[in-house]
Amino acid sequence: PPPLLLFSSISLALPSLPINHFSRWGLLTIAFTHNLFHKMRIFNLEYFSFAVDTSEFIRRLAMAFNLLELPREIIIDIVQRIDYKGLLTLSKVCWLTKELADVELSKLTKKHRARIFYWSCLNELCFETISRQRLNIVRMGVHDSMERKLRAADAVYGLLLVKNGNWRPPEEPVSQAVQLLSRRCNHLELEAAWLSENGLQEAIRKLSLFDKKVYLYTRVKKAVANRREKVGSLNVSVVDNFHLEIFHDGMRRRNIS
Amino acid sequence: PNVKLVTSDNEEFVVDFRIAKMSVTVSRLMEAMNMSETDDASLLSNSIPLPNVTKAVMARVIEWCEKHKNDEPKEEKENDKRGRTTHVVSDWDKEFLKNDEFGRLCQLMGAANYLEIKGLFNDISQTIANMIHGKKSDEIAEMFNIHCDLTEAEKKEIRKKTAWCED
Repeated sequence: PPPLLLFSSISLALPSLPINHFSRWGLLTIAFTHNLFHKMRIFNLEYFSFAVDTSEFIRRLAMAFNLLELPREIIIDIVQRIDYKGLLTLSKVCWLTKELADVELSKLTKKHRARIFYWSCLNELCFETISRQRLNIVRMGVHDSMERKLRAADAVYGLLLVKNGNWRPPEEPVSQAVQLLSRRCNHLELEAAWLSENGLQEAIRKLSLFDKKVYLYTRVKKAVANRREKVGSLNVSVVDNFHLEIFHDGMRRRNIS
Repeated sequence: PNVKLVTSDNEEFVVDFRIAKMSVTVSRLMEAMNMSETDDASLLSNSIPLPNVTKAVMARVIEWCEKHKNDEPKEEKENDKRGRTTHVVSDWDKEFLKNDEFGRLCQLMGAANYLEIKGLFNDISQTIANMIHGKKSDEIAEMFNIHCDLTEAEKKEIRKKTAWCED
């Protein structure tokens, strides 16, 4: 609507307002300054009906403009309706939306039936496919480059690193496992790695520092069979065939595929 | 029978008993005040104070309730195939909400939450979620007037993590 019309509408409305904290002209100035006319359809006089006093009026206007002013449970309800891609976008908006989106993303990856992405060589197209089809597990060669593994670990909940015909054990398996689990990935099965006793201790120490629940499956060179121990909230279990699992309660789920 | 509802700005709305019962909050208050459908005297002598709802918002709530007073209770699908909460907003509801600015939607949603009118709350929550779908992060920030408080390092980290589906 033309500014003159707006102005006259406001002028007509103001005499009916019990103004306690601002003068009418002050209120008008505030309204003009913030360009609220367009955004709030202030020309609709209905808005003035809730202006018990001007401070309340201003508070409501401010509230009306910011999603984050809504009670947290309401924001959560909205976020729960956002799809996967929308959640990723929300995580870039601000810290609070990131926090809420991260919670939903983590719930989603847990709820979802495993959808594995089999690819020996992850390229741009593969990552697009992962996104489009909402795949949450990637199975790739343990020999693949660390850069690709890290990228996959950023994209999915679970990573299955398997050996192929020409496999060689990964160098520094503990370092790899810790790096991969420090990304978005929570579940790692490292088929071709053999941890030494020192490596095992290092893995336990580093993973217990993580601020999230993780599952690691790999093998150990030498360890006491049927060894079970608890380090903080981490469970460490070595079965007689030297298979090792490090996990939190509720995270133990080998072969998520 | 009619029920009297009084808003925060002292406006009295007289609504049908069935409409009043659509709000869980009002139902509980009526129960606490021994107001029953068969007792006209109790309905006439009492009014339900609703200090968190203004006249303008109450009028909208009642308009929505009038339309939906004969609806069968609708179960919300908790999980669709993508694992997300879904709610189908009917054409009438879309039309009802489409001209509301975001600020007004928030007020209406706050009232639906306070009055515990699940259908209206779900309609608005889904409408706002639909406003977010398909938008870029800067468009969402602008639409909802959100100031980005992420540090450059955090932004960089997030970009790195979501580079594969960059918006």
